[in-house]
Amino acid sequence: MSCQTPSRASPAATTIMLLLWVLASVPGFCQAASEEQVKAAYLYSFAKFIEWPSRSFQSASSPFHFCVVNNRSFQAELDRTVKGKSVAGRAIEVASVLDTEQSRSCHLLFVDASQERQSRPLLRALQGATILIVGETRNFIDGGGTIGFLMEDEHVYFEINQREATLAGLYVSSRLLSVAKRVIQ
Amino acid sequence: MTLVNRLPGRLWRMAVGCSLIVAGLPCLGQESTPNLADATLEQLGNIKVYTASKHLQVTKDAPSSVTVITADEIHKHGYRTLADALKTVRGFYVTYDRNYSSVGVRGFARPGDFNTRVLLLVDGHRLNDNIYDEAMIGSEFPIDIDLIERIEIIRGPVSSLYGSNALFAVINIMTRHGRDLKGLELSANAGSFNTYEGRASYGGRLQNLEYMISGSFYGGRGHNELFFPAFNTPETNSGIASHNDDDQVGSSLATVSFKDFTFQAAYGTREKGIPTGAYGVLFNNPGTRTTDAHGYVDLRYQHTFADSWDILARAFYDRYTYQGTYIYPSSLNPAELSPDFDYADGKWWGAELQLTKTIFHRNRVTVGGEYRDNFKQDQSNYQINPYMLAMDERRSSYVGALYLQDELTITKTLSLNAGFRYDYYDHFDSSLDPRAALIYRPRSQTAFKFIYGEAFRVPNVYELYYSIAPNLPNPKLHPEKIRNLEWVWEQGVHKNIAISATAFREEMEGLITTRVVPPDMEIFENLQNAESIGGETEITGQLPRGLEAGASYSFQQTKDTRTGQFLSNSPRHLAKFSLTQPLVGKKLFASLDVQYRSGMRSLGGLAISGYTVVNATLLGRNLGKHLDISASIYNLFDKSYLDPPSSANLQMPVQQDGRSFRIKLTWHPGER
Repeated sequence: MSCQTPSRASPAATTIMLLLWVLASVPGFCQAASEEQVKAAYLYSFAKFIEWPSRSFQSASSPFHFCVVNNRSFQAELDRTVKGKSVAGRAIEVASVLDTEQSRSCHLLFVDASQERQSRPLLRALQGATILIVGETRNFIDGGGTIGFLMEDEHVYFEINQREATLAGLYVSSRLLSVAKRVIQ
Repeated sequence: MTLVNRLPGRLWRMAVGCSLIVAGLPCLGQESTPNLADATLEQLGNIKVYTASKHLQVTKDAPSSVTVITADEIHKHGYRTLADALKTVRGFYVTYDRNYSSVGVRGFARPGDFNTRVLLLVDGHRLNDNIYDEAMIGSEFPIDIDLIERIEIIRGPVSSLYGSNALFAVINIMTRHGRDLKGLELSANAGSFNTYEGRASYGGRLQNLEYMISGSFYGGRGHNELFFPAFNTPETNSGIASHNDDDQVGSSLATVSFKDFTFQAAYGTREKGIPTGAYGVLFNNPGTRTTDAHGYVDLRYQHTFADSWDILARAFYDRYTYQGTYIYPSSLNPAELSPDFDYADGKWWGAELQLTKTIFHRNRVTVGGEYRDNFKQDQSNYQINPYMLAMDERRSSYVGALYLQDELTITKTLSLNAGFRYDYYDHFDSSLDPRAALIYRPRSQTAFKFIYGEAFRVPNVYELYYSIAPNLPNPKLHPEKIRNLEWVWEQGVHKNIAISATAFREEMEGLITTRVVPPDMEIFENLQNAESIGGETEITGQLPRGLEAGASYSFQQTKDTRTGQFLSNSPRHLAKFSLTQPLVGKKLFASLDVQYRSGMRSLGGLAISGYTVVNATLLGRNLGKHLDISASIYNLFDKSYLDPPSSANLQMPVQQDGRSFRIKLTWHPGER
């Protein structure tokens, strides 16, 4: 086989072959949705079921800002999801931000697991700002986040810290609260 | 590129062959991206998802080739120590001389050094000690592996950020938060060789206060009998070391965060019996043993000022002690014993300040400084029958450093991560180490990285001054240097599969390594200029039914550039395979690990055969809601294999464990 290592049919080649074979033989693995796709769709839903005060927009025609902390691949996914959509009649802009300063102009800010180390100072700095902060690390809402994703049985769910939302001046619809796995009041 | 021309033809044929097979996979070319924006909340909750390879997501933007191991993987695969986890990492191999575990990266594992070319961090705190520079990864690692949330492995030289020791890799351990524990957690396990372990942890969060405290004990009697053919004479118990392999560990960790402050205290101590008759001690005498202890306190402050200045400040104090007892026959009367006591005592404190700010919207600039005062680096040795003080080396040193790094976004698809660090030493020439990584991401699923980096390591006081036979001191040692050129391609395939390929060339200048001084003495010298070229490839993926699998293969050719000979302790091929299959919903998981290491040559010229070891673990999670039970079999097929000896005993390869078992119970009454 062409995957052989230079010396004999080593376990190296065997393991690689075995994996490729497993991948190739499982039917229909292209049909499930990816975690990123589902999370992007959730973020769009959050924007629909949460009300931002009008003071968080410069004018009636200002766009709604989705932001992702330093993750351009998720930014691209979110871009695809919200293409041609709007939030409360506003156009949508998606940006990847690097620091707190750039985050100030966001309405919804997503912090992925790889940014966990930065999330603590970020959450602290943005406390009280009119920004919906969504994370995906475990117990994100216990650490000052507003909405946290969780994975269970290959499904994506979310939990809400309503106290943080209220502090931020956001109104969370009861519809969203009823679907949440856990709500901190 | 010269590197490409120098890779052997067969490797390229192999690579082409493999990529053809990959290209033949179904549905690779198609894009099926359902737009879920119109789905209801309930529908979204009902969609079964495959996890995008977190490893890829985390690592695609990283300016190096990175591997991440999560707590979840540690539990599912039944890793007992950090060494167990590192064995599964692409391009890594671990050897064990029945005292310390040594990690080799990209073909470099010098016999008799103590993982000095890998930097080990716990929550950013440097763990390599100030006597041997040792990164402890076996049972001697002072943090219980159950307290690890994630392990990040950054390949290549990163002295531009971390200074000395960051030559081949930086291993950053992140420990668990109090909020993840939510109360009490108790864990106990029992395994082969009369091994028992217990842990109690408690953690939680109150407003701005987060706390985690944990204590563990581990005790193993080890092998009742170990056979060493080199000692197969009637005077030395026919080569059988009996009850001589025991291992006792005690460790504790406490982390408290209040607002922007995090305080951490850690302490671990391990005592290990040495059955190998190392350093010419009396064979089969259980008195020969070592005790290592490392403790530290670390205070960290992280804050964002004026929305744009991220500040990280840290101050720490560390203490490391080692005591070795080696039993020799007395020179006065060979019928009597003369224990030889070997001590090391290291104390150091230091501080670090780091500022990060985004300027002109395109540059994320990090500037920092570090100071470390090794105010005690003492080694001593004496024997007691007759009493003789053989060594009393008292040393101290300090290092100060400044570093600068910029992450520059050039265009939407192109970014540059460049920086350097300047280290000033009181005893050595200062070192300036640059690093630059160009990252090109034409599509979200594709990343190309081109990396150049330099790193250095200053000789440690053990290499410089330790003067007990068989070692000769060498105060003339100077820092060694590495230059590394690396090319990385990372590709996501349909979001659930990640493929990566890496080619590298590393040049070591003045590698500090052991030279045998005839007849039987050893000395550390800046002996070799060495070069390692090679490639690594890895594929990881998750399939709809929850099957997670990963495979990696690495090839490296590490040679002394002067003699053209292969270095010792350097296997040319490594392959790993791992698999986890959920059974019965999310309650039961079956995991398998396969590790292959090709043959290599030991420092003494012995041929060490290659081997393949298979480990299997079954984990039941949240049984009766609060109990996790796992059962593991290590070395499932009872493969008999040897690791090369360390410099302590050149002529004797070390037998590794055959099939062994472990049962583990963890009770976590707190809601997760």
